[in-house]
Amino acid sequence: MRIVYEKPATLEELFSLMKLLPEGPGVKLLAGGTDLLPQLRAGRSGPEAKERPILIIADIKRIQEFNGIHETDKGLFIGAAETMRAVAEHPLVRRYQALAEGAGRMGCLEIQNRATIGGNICNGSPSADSLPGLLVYDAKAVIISEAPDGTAPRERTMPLERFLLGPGKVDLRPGEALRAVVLPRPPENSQSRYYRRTRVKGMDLSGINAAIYCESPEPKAGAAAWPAACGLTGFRIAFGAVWPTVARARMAEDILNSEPVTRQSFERAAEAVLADMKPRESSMRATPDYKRAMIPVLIEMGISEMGGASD
Amino acid sequence: MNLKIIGTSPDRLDAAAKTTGEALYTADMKFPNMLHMKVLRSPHAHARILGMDVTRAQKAPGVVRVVTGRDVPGPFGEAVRDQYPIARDKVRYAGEPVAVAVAADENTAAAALDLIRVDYEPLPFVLDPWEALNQTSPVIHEGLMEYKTAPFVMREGHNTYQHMKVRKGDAQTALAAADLVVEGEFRWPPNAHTQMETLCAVACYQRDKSLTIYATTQAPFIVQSTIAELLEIPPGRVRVVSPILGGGFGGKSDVTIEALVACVARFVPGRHACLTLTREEMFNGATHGRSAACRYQIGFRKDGRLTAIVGESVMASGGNADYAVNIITGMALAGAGPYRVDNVRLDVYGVYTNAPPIGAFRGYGHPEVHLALESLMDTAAEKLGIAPYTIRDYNLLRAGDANAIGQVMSPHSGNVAECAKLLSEKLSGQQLPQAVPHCRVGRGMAAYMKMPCMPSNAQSGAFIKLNPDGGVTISTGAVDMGQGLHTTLGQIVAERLGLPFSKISFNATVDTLISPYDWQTVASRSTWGAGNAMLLAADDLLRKLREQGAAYFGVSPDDVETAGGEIRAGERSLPWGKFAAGLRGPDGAALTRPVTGEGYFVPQGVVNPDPETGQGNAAPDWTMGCAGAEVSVDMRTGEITVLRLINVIDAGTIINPKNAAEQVSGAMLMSLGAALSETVIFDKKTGCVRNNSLVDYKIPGIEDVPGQVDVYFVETPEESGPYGAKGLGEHGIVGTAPAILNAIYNATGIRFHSLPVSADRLIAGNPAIKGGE
Amino acid sequence: MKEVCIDINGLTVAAAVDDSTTLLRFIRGAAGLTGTKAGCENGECGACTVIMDGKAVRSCLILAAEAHGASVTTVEGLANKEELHPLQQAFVDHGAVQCGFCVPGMLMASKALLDANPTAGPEEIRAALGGHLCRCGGYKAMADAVRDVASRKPQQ
Repeated sequence: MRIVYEKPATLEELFSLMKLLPEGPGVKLLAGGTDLLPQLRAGRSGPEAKERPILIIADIKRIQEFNGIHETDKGLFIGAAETMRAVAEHPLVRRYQALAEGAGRMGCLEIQNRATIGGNICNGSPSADSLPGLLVYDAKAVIISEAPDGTAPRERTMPLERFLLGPGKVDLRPGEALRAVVLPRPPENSQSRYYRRTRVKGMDLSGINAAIYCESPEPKAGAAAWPAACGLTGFRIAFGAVWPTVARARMAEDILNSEPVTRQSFERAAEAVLADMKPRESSMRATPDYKRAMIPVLIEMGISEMGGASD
Repeated sequence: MNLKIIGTSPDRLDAAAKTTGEALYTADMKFPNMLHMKVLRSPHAHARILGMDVTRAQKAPGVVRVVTGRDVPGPFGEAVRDQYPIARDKVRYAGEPVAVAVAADENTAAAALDLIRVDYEPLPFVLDPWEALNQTSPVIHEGLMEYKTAPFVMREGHNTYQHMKVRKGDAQTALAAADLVVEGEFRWPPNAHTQMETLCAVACYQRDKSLTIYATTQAPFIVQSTIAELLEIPPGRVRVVSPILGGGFGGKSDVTIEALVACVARFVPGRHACLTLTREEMFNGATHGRSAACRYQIGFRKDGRLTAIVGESVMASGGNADYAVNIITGMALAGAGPYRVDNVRLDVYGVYTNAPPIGAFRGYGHPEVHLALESLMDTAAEKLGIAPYTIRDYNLLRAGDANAIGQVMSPHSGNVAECAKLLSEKLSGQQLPQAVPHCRVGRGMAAYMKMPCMPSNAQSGAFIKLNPDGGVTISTGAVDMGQGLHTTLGQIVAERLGLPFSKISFNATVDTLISPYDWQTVASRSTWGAGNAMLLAADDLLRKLREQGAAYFGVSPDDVETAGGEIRAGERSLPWGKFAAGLRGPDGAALTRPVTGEGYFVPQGVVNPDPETGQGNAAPDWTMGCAGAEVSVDMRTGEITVLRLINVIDAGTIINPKNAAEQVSGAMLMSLGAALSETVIFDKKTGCVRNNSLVDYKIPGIEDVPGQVDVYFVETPEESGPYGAKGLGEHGIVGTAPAILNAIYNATGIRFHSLPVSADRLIAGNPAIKGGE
Repeated sequence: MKEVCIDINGLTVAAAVDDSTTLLRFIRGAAGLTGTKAGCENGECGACTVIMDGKAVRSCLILAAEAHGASVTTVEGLANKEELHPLQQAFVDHGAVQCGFCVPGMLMASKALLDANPTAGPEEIRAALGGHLCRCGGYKAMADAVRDVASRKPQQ
């Protein structure tokens, strides 16, 4: 397989490249390359990679539409080509703590300097570090493609959670690219945390990861810690490496949001996740038993940390 | 003795070049017209090769040559001749080479591999050590009993290529009479050496029937003799060069890829051909270490006295045995640990399995048996109501005691009791940190002893060349793979010659054409062996300086002094440097010859152990010590944090304290990795290594380093060592993992019998503690 | 093939390379600078770390063609003629060099850290070296060496 590297300057150039070899694996979009290069080296960039004589690598980094972190009327816009480091450090992302934490925990510093949020999403890892944080903020995927008549590009927007189809699979059709994610502005009294369990303390992939989001109706200074009177509401919980994709634990959220949080409701919420989870049996990073044990632990960590905090 | 340089820590001689990128490693070397190799590896753990078609690959553009097992000689193997450079009729592990493509660049060679067709008949395979020992398991080497072997190989057939015994007293009777018997099986899974530098070799075969190979090797002279025999070239025409080495840890000892590279290079005469293993290939095409299961029963008297040790251990050695035979020796001879015990019965088996071969790995069989011994010592202490330190102290070998193989400890053998005492004081001298919420803290210890496993005549050589500035250049056949050997040897030489350390320069590479013989750089033996050779070479240099001084000044050598870098005869003197290249008289006639000292060392009085009892003076020396650990275990998540590691070691006189401490603490960290996160994982269905990358083979990083890592030295001078020194490079690995496991038990009450102890195992394997306390 | 020009240690290196060539292979091959080491070529070990346009990156995870026009510093670019860079000297002084294979990557990560944060503390140093593997286990000496240099910088 021969690799041809192209660095389109504009969307138009990108789309015309993508038309050259329209079937998915013929053109691969390159952003940070931290996942793509190892895949190319291992010869597994798409199922038919080996049979394909040519693979075009289209570097999207300098196309303006894929860049930028800024507020819009729909929320925070994060371009797909923005690096994990940029996401972790950007002042506008700080409000979305679980996302900033997840991006800052991914790989290591040098990887974060190159890896992009678009790549982290589109690689489709069931335990991607940016995804739990994105999902608890109801992030939307902005997908761009060439208009049929060749004029202005077409955009479609969908909930990011639905964009994730399975391990290594996202809802991109031929000719489409993930342009950005947009995160609706969360209420002032919201907060979130990101947790993950790894085999070593340094660089590692998550055996299981989670983001917990909640709101406190009236911020209570010095409120008693969990479980009593934490007064948290509006829970959103996302787990990675528990289902084939990172996903929201809506059944648990519903239980926690339908009544004041007590030890009993918390336990029922965790049970609901356990009943529904579909962990990969053969994972080398964490066994299903360990994941089962961690589901209540990670939820509880979130509730107790956020419920106990006075700010 | 008034020592000036021994016991100090000058900057390492090789440090600056390694910070600038100027240090050349094997893969950094380029040669004109160089070719590259790629290896096709078996996808099957055990299969017969029915046929192979390489015609398409051979015809592919840019491919110079495709070489298969039928094209190359074999078998070879230092202890058991059981391997081929490229598999011939059968593959015995997934990853075994079956063909090699040679091309102008790596990509072309790799593409050619896709065009090779191999027909395999898959066979049932075996990975488990006990299963392999069982007569019903698939036979891996049908020809085992016919193979040529070294005399000390005691094969039993089926898959058992070695059975080593230690017999002392009447262990079964003593066990039956014991007040307490503790027992258990302990497993140390295969570990990967994970040197940061992968294996690489560049070979050039010339039509004058000589071969030069640059290789990442700790054992250039073993490589030389093996290649010479395989290719039927006189050894003097096989030149093996070991450039600067990026870590070894045993994984670059004996013969690794060199046999394959040399055999393939023969097909492209006149051209340098290079093979660099990828990181993935390091997991399926290079040796691993450890991979042993040890079943121990230990008998005690009520007062804590050790009365009997009965052990049955087996090492799953992978597809070929080769030098693993000697690891079995280590497991047997050290199988009773640093303890005085009158009744010992140990059986250690080496068995073939369908995994990548097990080779030397820092510790060489000792960590495996110590995991069993030191875990059970703690169990016994608890059952008898004796403190872990006290029960050890009561039983530790002291001068005058005989060890398990009948060697009587002399006062210079090392003071393990002092090590244990100091460790215990240091460990308990600090308050256990207050446990943070959800966490439990605990501490543990483990005593250890280790000997260098090597031939009884393992040789070391040294050259010291005098330079015109009065400095000297030292050359050894031992390899500096990062342990700081040249600096240590330089200190020994500077001390003996009375020169400042700044006058020492060194030859960074070993070259079998010109370097003095050295068996190989393993077994923590080089400070001791090469250090002794350096002392002899230094004395030789001084003697020659006196002779040349005598010739120049016209006096008797007895009247010549060499102190202070001056050759002095009465009132007259000349600096050493003047003698470097030879001096002439006033009439121009040469009066003196250039001066080079040489020295050779072999251990004296070391014999092979008795084949039936293991008794005998088989170990030239023992290095003993004690390890300690403090851990915090998060009972919610299972996360284990090692807060503190300590090691107290008696390695005789410490030549370079900074270097020595780095060696010991580096080994401790490696043991921490084995204890908590490292294991080679095999696919149960295919027998392939699943975690063949650093993504899933997890070695410790900077964030795993405990907050406190302390190394203390007890310095009992070793009679046979240079300035009283002996080996210490491996020893930090031996006791640390059992000490961590003992600390985990102390914290949680959970006894683990195998490594690694992951958070996952702690939680998932113990439903009782699931979800917190 | 692509014509690639990269400024490496202040000199422009131009070469035609296969599109799949990584920056690491470009540095070691076309530029002939073998100080940058290949430990895994998979982004997992850190040995190949260089500084590109001011940021520490893994040169094995970047295509040479992507780096066209970029400015790269490798370990060979650290020392000033005969003088070792303060970080290099500190590594020597602290005995932070064993087999040496990880050292170039460690140094480049440390330099990028101190360029951005001249007074980096122990936590920041650990984070900066968090993705770098050293099998000799010399992490503490290396972190001490970096801290030594950081603590020498004039406080701002």
